[in-house]
Amino acid sequence: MTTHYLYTENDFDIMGMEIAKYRKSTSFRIQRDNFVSFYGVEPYMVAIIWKHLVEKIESIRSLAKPNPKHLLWGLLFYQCYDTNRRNAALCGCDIKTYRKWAWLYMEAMADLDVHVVSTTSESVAFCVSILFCFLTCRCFEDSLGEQIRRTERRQMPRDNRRDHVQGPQLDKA
Amino acid sequence: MTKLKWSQRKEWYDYKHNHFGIKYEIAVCIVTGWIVHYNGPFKGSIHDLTIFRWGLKKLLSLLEKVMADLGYVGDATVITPKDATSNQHRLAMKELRKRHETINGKMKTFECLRNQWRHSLDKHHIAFRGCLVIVQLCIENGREVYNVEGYSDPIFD
Repeated sequence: MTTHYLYTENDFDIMGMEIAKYRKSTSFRIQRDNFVSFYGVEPYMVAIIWKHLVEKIESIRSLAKPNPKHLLWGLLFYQCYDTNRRNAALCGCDIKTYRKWAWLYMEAMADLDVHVVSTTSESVAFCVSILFCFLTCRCFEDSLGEQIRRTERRQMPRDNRRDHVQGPQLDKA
Repeated sequence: MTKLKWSQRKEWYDYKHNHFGIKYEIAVCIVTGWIVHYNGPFKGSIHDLTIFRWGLKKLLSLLEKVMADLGYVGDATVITPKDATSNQHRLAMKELRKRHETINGKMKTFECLRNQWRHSLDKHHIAFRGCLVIVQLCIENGREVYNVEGYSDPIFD
């Protein structure tokens, strides 16, 4: 069994900024916000996810040399959800290459749920759960949905609209 | 864009949210605030209580109960705001539900769950589970969850 190098927070920070074509900021807060806006989580969380992946997921362990950049490609998909062409252009690779590696790491992250979200864990046994259903993803953007939204917009009171607001310099009076 | 016939499309419409979509069920531990269970995907037209009866209800141990919102009224294993014994109890349950909403909000920071899903429907659960794992790892590793101090659990006290 090969042992994989565990990349640090700083490594992911540098790699993430390379992909995003950003210059690394001297301000910690701005730097963190830049990273989160592209990948959804802080660099230290990416390092933790990477550690879980190389230790627990067989599809990643079986790779000869797993590349941490591919994990960032998967996170970029989750967070930005652009088209594959735009993401591939950002990552500087072919669209097929992007799709192959991004989906491999996304499936690997999804498979972590057995280890991370578990009802059999000792810490959560015999406790009462709180439960909700939530609806995600407007998956069918169809003519009816468009019609409903248009109707809602029409019924909205005039005062709530932002388009009639003018700045003081535009006021002719 | 996923194109379905009108008869098929109606099955994905959720009356509560007034839109088409995919439904998932998430359960959070009251004590730790961690995600302990998920179930899905389901069609948007399926009721929350039905999903609960299909999945989580069968996993509960004897005398174990879940706390949920008013949509789950009608099942003996669910404690809803209607079952509150006092005003303090009602407010405590409200705080816990707020914490759950913050977790829903964290899931929705990812654009793939917030926007229109453009890929195959078979692949949506991969994106959901991935985001769920990321949120759970964030909670485990120190990201702030809604503070519910002052709540006393009647079972543990």
